[in-house]
Amino acid sequence: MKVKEKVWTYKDYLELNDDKRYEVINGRLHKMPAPHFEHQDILGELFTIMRIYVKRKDLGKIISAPFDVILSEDTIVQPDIVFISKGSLKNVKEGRLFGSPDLVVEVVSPTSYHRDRYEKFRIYEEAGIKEYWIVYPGEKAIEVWILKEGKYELYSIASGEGKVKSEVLKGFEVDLKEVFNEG
Amino acid sequence: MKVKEKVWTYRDYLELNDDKRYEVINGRLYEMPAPTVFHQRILNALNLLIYMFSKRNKVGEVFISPVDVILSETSIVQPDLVFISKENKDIVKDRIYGSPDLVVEIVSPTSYYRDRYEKFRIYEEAGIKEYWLVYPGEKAIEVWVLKEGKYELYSIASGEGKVKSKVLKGLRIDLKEIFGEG
Repeated sequence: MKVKEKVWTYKDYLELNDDKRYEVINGRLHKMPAPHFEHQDILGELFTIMRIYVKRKDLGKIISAPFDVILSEDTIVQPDIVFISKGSLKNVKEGRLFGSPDLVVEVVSPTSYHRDRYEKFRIYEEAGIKEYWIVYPGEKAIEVWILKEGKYELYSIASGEGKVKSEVLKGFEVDLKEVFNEG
Repeated sequence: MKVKEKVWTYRDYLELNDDKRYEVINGRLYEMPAPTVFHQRILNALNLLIYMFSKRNKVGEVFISPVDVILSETSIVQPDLVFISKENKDIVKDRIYGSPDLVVEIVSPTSYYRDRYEKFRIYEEAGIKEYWLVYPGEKAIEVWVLKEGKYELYSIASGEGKVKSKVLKGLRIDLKEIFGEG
């Protein structure tokens, strides 16, 4: 007899109480290791720049991980950065977001590369998240993907040097230098 | 009046003589900066394994860059590593005239976009059966395999684990051997 793998749900997720960080993607439970210094350094820079921009323009909220985003009954993620537009703030309940943020950022690491670039890419696309930023510290690259007829299209990209821009956050652009600290 | 950008061809490429390395992709000329030590270390490790595998199994020949691969009149590339099967050996002359069976590119900040998107499309269109993309920073390797004219992700590992080749049947590479331990 084949043993069926457990399908994790939001309810199961809430009952976890071992103080570790997890995500549930299509019913599968993924443990999230503590991020490294470099990851947090880059994340911190980008978060600060985005948060200041969004606050000044009064567009909504920029929140950083760990923060639960419940995309569906069997998919609960903690993206590195989420932007929740003013109109979507009503979906924040009990300190969590129920539904899709307007923009998501993931800073890739060796342990998350496959998940961020392919698994979550598909999940975010299906969830109708309008914009997805993928940051590659090793390659000093940022990709900005935007949803077009239900599929992500590469909207802006820079590596090594240059700037990337957002569509969802109108007028927002960031120089790689500011994120990757020059060298 | 709009000035039309020069479309570079194989002939123009051959006439360049300033000792720098260039590629021509869809008629556009790109200068290639000298690779870093990290890049070369990874290339050495990969070449050792792929070269040995190919030699032991007598399946074909392996070259590392710089070697010119002329894919078309307006696309001349220097991939980091190419494998050409025995069946395909006629394309190897003083340079490589045609599509290798397998190509490897090791991504760097200056080449990220070109390797991941531009060359990806070029190699797909050229019918190169297998394309390996190596990301030193994320300690990741992706193996893309042509299926009905489009690349599909065939094998991937990041951080730890192994990747396998379809073209080089039986070849499996542990990331540890390429990126070192940890």
